[in-house]
Amino acid sequence: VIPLLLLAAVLPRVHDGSTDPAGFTRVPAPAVKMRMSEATATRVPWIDANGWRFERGLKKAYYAELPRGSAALAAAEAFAYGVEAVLNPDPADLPELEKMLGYLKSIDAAAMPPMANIGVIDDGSALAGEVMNMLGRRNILYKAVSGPDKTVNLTVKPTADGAGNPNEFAARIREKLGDEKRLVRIYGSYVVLARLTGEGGRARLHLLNYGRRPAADVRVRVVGGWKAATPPMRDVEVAEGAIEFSVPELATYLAVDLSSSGEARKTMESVRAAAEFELTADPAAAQWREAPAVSIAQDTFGKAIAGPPTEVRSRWTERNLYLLYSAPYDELNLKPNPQTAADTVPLWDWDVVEAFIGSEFDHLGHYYEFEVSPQGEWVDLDIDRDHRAKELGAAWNSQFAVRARVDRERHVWYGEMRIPFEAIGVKGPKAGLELRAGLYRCAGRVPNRVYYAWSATGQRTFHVPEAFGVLRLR
Amino acid sequence: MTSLTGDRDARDSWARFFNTSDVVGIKVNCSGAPGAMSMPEVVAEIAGNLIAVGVKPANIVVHERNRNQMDDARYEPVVPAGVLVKSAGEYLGYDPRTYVECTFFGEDDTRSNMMRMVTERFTKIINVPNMKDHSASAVTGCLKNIAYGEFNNVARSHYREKTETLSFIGTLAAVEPLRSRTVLSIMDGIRGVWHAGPFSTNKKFRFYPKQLKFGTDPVAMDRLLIDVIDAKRKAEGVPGVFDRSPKNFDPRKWAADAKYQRFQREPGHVEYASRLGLGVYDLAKIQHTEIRL
Repeated sequence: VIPLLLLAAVLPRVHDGSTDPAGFTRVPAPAVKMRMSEATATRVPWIDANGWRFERGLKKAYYAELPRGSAALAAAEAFAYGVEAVLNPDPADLPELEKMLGYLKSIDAAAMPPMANIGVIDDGSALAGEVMNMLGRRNILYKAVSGPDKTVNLTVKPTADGAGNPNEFAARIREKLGDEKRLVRIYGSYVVLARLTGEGGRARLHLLNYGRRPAADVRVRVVGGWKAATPPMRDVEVAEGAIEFSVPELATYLAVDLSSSGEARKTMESVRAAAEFELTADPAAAQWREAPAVSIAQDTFGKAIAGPPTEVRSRWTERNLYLLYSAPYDELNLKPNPQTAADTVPLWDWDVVEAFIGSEFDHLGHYYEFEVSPQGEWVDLDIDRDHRAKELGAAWNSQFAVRARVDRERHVWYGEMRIPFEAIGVKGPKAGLELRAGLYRCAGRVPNRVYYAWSATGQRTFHVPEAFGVLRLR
Repeated sequence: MTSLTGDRDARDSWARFFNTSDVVGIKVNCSGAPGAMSMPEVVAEIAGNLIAVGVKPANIVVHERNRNQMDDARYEPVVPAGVLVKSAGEYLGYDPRTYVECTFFGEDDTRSNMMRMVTERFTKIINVPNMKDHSASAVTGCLKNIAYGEFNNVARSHYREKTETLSFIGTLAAVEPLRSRTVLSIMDGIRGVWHAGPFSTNKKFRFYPKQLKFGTDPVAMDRLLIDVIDAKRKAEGVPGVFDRSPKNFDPRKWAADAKYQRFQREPGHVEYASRLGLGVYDLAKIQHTEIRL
């Protein structure tokens, strides 16, 4: 096993291929096969996909033979189906695989049940498996069932008489179901396969590109009252009980999180202050009394967090941006032996409020992270998710100032920041200027630890710059 | 052009169609390039006339679906400076909101989307097809050049020996804003293809009609094209464009032998388009003036 690439247990991991890992079943490499010399030439190529194996219950997959170029897709395929996987990649694929594993780790989230139109009664036969394979090939979402299932539109039982040709059988199922009821439609590509999981007003759409080249201009339709997609998609249309959007270029894999709440991009205003002011961490101070506040009462997935909300206010001057957080708490989770003379890393494992701010709208991956804890510890980070080698991380020093105060009587702590505009790439700020902003808070101890997000990211992580809201100077 | 419009000065003719505020798409046909195509010299002359009436070069876009075909045609060295030569993939892509949705043979991708250049950029389109035979639709002229040429996912209308071009070509050509913005057609018949089109991989099927057709009615122009291709095929001693005899269908021989066909051809697509209001099919009603040079 290559330790470098060992990640969380649910994420795919790498194996040297010398022996088969115990308890794992070998599966073929995901691939597209054109077979142009066989039968009638077609633009609908054959795809070797393992989704049907996973849907019918295979939980531990060993990709023993992965030709060059297939490792990242194998990792994504296993991840999309929530399967524990071991990979034996071609060494040349390791950089690409590592990149994919990094992406998968960043979007890792609690598993949700599959959403399907069709229930396939699975008797364990090869025929039932091939019917599932053919349904998946057409992006007709199905799940393996043991008998009639009321959660799907149709339940089918493949038999030798009716499903002797599984491909034609799948076509008949499609006709009987009707395209308008299909949970997912993919337009513009014959090599992109989808899986949809979801519950409780949210869903995740997994898009896997089995082609050898990036798929361009893929149009996606998802039925089910979805109103918003994360990361933000292009040409979004919400109508007639479905959301449609475009993916300009799908390289190998993309997870799109859907919400039925239709939450629009969050916007908060920062009101200009007449002059610079001392940090007090006191919302009753003159400079903060009239400042408008935004409330944060949800987690990164948009799920409501019980209890009073966290509030954030902002002011600005010619030189600085000010933020004040009011954070009600039940129990503080504080780092022992605090120090405030330098960055504290990692501060985010304790109680902390955070502001992610970016001034570049044409480079969403570059932004700055500011944190302050109830004890006045702080950290400021330069983040560039597109060029990790270039980002300065904690070595960056913004010269920002912080102040924290804990009101133990009211069970509220306050964190205030003063961020120099110059440090975040803003020169001569004026009213009307917009910044990209993510406002967050980590609170409490495990298992009651919660992660507040002003603008839901749709993932466990705060680091989804596409989901930032807007902070507008007034 | 002066004969088409009745003007004395060609600039007046062009000015009837185009003005300084227009963004003009020139829809060429390069599927047969470099053997047969909308000739670069013809396209350059069209662009030059547009510039002469005040259209900005940067607002003239010679376009086609596929970049590789335009590369084979080599327009860039010939067209006036500043004129854009773009494929759909490199310039705006396809419009997700403007499409024809239907299924022919059970295909899963049931949408054909119009180019975004057409829906969002162009105010006018000049349609510049070739004179070519087409294995599925029998001829490919004005209608097919804007129908299959301005939409994606169109080859799905052919499967094995069957083709649904009879209705699909006219249906696509009638979609707005493509229909209204295509104000002028100039059919390039300097070189043509009389069998195995729209491609031109076999030199022996190229011919030289030596003509250009100027018009505003794509149906009428294609009706005349049917006669050009049909006459040439018969002159070569092979079945004409309306032949659908099963004995002449052979998917293995058609590419090399003009007696055989690959699909059950649908020249009726031109008449079908006339019934959608796209133009005049009846030869007796077509106003056609021939000028010999």
